[in-house]
Amino acid sequence: MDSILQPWPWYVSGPLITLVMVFLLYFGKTFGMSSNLRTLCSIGGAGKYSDFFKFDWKAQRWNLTVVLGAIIGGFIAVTFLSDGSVMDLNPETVKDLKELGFENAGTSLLPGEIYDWNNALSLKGLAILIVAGFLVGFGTRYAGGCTSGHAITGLSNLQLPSLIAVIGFFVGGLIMTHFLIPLIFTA
Amino acid sequence: MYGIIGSAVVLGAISVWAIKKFRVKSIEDQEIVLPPKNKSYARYILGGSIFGLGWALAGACPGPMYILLGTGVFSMLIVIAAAMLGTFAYGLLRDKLPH
Repeated sequence: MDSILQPWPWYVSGPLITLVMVFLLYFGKTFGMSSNLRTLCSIGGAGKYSDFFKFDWKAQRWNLTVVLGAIIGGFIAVTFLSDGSVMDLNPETVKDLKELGFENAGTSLLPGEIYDWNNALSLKGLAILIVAGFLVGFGTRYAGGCTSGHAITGLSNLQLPSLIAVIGFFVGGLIMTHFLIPLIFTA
Repeated sequence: MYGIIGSAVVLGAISVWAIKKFRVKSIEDQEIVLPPKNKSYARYILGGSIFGLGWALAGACPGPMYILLGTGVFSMLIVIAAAMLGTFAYGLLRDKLPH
């Protein structure tokens, strides 16, 4: 019983992700979280500005229900399924992050140095969150999918474009981690 | 991390193969079809890399953004709003970008 409160091992969480994809396929849907951003834009009236947002978003309401489920799942995971144990982060990574000023690397899900309100609302913090979100939203639609749509569904379906996109994810991710984040957080 | 995504993809590939092989029907009794991705390179490598930059900076991709919101990180709403803005910007610029 205790083990359910610890971080779940990869051979449990990985297959659970597959299960989500298979469930969605079985129910006649697909696994792609970033599509919701487009749906939300359409609901907000973005169709007035670009045909890209003129589509039957009501047919995509199921995917917003998945979003609701993800929020509830996150709540359940931290409230009932966690004893607050430290995640199994590579000690090298923890050391590198501490050098950049991230004190709680590995002990919190996200760095308080970025996500705590007093930091998130500082000029630099707000800029980081907005730029980061903008790049995610722009890039994912440009690439036609995100981690769920390309890395999980696309690769499972052996789609070459998805492999290219996933390589792009890591190119961008590695550039940010190794070159840009040290610049942003030591300045 | 590589174990998680690796096991998810390997099992996923076997599942998708089995779904096609045995022509598994969905609950609505339709054949399960995964839409093929458009064949091109530019949009995937460019869009993917832009996504990757934001992914590493935010520490979250579009799924976990909502999950983390559920864990009580409400400042994630700023990231989600900015991601909507990014998607909106893509919609405006789509015809001018190489695909």
